[in-house]
Amino acid sequence: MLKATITVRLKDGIDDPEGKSIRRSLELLGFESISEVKVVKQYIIYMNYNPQDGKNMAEEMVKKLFVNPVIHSYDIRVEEI
Amino acid sequence: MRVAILQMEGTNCEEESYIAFKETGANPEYLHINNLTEGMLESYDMIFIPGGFSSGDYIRAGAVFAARLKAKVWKDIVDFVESGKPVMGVCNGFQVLIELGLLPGTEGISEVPQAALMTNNSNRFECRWVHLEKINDTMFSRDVPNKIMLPVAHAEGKFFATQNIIKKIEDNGQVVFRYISPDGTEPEYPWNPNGSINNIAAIVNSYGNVFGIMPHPERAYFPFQHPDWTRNPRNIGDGYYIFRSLFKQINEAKSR
Repeated sequence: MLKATITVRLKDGIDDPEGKSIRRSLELLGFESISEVKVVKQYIIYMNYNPQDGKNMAEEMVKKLFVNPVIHSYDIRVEEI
Repeated sequence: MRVAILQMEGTNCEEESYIAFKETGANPEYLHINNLTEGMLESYDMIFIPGGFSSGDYIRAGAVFAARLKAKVWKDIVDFVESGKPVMGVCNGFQVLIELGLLPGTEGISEVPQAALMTNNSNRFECRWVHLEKINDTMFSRDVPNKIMLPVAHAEGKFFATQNIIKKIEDNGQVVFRYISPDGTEPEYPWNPNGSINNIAAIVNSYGNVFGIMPHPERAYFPFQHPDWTRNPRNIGDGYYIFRSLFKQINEAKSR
């Protein structure tokens, strides 16, 4: 069994309104000295492939669905479990 | 004029859109993506992608709808667009057109998205009436007055692209509507409800036949749908002008 972990984040310099409002909430809860909060999305996909095919498959998924290259960067980690 | 109103799990503005097309004199038909097969779209005069929350807005608004259309009938859609027939997306439909790479289409259809409709600056669902200024005459806006009001209802509507693409969109005259403040000045929040770059609310592709708009013309089709309809009588709703522009254009093109 293969476990692919795909992490999608906003590129540097792109506004993250969700992160900003979470930061505000944390400050209201009394957490101090927070300079920035960034929100990422992680997809964990279990599949029955060999590592190379699994990696290719995850790349395809990213291209077809998970990422808009204008605003997102991503990384993929594939491991056998 | 046969209009294909595409449906998917989670679209929810198809009924108002259907009524708007019907009242304008067109022949709208619902077409669910599950029933869509190759060669089917060709017989229609127009494709309309309605608003809503296709696939629950999972991953990104419009991403799943776009990916499924691409997997199923991409070639048909490309042929349709290249034949010059109109394609229109409202709200979630606009997000789908961006994800498909049909918009902004500064140099034709692009393989990967050239722009994004991102989470609103407020990080909230923005649901209110906004003022719009018409910037360019297109087949979707020719009969529209210079200033209109339409309602927005979205959480991901901030138009974003690189400066290079924004410049091309502006230079090509592809901006159709911008948000403005009620007194006609540069809009601050909430008059620009989402933080869109250059206050962009609606664009066309460079050829002028693919149109995406965040506010909902179909929700302002009748005068009584306007919030001030008792105080400010009008003969028709502001959204009607967009449907009328289209209808006239298509009928003229057909009779030629």
